[in-house]
Amino acid sequence: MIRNNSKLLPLFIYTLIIAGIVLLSISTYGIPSSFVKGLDSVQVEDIDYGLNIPSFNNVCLYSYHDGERLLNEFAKENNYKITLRKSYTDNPKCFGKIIGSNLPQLALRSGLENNEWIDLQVTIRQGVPTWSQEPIFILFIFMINASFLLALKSKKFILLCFIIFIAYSMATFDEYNRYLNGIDQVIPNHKYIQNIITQLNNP
Amino acid sequence: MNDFPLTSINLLIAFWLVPGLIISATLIKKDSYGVILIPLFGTGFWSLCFSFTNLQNFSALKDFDLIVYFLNALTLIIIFLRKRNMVAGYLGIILLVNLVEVFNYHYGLINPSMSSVNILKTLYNMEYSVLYEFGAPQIYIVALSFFFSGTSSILLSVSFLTGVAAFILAGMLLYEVFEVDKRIVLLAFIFPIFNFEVTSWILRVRPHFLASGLTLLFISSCYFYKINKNFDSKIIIFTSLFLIMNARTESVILFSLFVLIIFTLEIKNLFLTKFSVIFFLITYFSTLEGFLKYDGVRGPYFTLLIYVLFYFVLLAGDKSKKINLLIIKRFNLILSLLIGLVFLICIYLYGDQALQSYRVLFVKLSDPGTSFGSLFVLYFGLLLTLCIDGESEVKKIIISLYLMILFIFLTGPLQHSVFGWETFYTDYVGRDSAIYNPFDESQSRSIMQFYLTIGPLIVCYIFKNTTKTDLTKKGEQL
Repeated sequence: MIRNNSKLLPLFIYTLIIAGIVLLSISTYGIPSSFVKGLDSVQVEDIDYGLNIPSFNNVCLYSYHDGERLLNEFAKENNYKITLRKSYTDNPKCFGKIIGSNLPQLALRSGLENNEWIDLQVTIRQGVPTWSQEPIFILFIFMINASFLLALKSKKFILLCFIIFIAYSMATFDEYNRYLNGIDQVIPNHKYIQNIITQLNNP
Repeated sequence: MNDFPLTSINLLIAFWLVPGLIISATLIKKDSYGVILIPLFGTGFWSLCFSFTNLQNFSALKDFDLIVYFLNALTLIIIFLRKRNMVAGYLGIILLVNLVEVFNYHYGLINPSMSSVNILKTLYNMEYSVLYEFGAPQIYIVALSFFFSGTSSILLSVSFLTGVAAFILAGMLLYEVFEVDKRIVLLAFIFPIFNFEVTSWILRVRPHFLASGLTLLFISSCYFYKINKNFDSKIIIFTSLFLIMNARTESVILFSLFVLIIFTLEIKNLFLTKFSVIFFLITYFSTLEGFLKYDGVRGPYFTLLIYVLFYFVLLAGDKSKKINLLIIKRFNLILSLLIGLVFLICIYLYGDQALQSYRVLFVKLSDPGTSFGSLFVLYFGLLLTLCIDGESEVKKIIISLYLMILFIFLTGPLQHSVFGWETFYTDYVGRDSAIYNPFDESQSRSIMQFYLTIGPLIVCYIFKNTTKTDLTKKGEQL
């Protein structure tokens, strides 16, 4: 398929862009703490994590996935769901760190309600995606680009790209990140509309 | 939960689809196309009807239910005498709509956004002036108009099912044009749906999914017209174009793509006939009605400019061979330069805010958490594959679509004039206010819209004239 060396230029530029974004992301947010640190080093506060929820609000103590790791470790019997919401910051110390949550500071773990949604707000830097904090995404990038390279030899490998794409989407599907960072509030179902109409009918 | 209001929902379905059935039976010769075009014609008819009447809510017609059912039955009998397959297909569509609506009623398949609910309230209270302030596209209004105020019955799947019909018809046309293996066509149309962001937008009342299906339908019907110059393909071209113009207010910027398609496929004669001039006038006035009292990119002057420019380019290109050749050979280059100019203007006008808008948009589009990230990587990979491949008119169209994405991305700061940077920022109070950025509002969704259009088109192009035997051969070259 590649007829001459000039055809390699787009490939080179593309690789450079992808590698550049990955490196920029690593330099801004680092690599996931689970890769380099044990749970002990994540426990940066002098509190009993079995009793209290970590200080998530306004202090930038915990990085991207650390809050989730601590809750999963110390509050595993509570039936809660976590959403990671992203917002922008100019403070370099807070890039990729948790800046807030919908829980009171150092709330008692026993105060968590059943099926409670815990919002952890992670601050990110404008212009830098959080690729480095998502190992599965990096794996996806690697696999799909390998398939595209193979597709230069035979177009059948394009189909492999689609299969990888579908597999990645299925693997990362979960109900609570569906509307992550969404702009509109989502109304659960049709019944809501029915209720609105009923209310309009009976002022 | 109350029982599903079967009777009133079916009355609404009849309102929606019967005009489509009549138009389809009258104009379309091939029954398989005709059946799929019923929802498209139905939505198109009401879009046109709502533009020129005060009817935007079917409650006033509820008392005529028996007459509507009688006319529905009479129409079916008359069409049955001429086109039995079409009537069978129509009944199949009614069954499908009922199934979707029942499923939606009980499980919440379609999620209306807050703006959808606001438009619904507006329609309910007959406060049409609010719609104009919203700048809501006509088809969006149509998609939310099918309800009766006296009872709690509403048809929410209009936009979704019209979009599905557009994609199915586009798939059928692309299959005939490119002679691709059926399974590959199926995969081409299904794989983009396996993505959260796309799925969540498909299952909303907003017209993004519909607009992307219509764009693909327009492109595929133009290719189909090139190989099969019959009346059916002409009707499909103009119907899709009419609906595109009324589906998303930003769709008018697609005009450059239309110009490219018209010239590269040498179908400009079709667009210079009296028939198409009348069509464009109707489209223009109905579109204008939706944009009324609205400033900025979505405003009436912009639309007027686009229409005038469109005809100017067509007329000039038709008269001069040099311009004709320039468009065929160098259109994407000229478009790139113009897009570069827009970028410079944005930087000049908005400075740091423009750069901020680009940074925010880039993160949104490449963020793994929103599922945009996987699309970002996949479609750039596909673009790379195209760039390495040889020259082709299809490739030009696809590159032009990518340039549209770039154009939408770079026009982000111009959303200033639409929403007003300061007021919109402070007025918006919600859980997502921290990440919310008005630059991001329409742009990321429009870009997602193009993803859905590009995916199937690229796959059909790559695998053109490929049979099952070709696929099983070793070392097949692209």
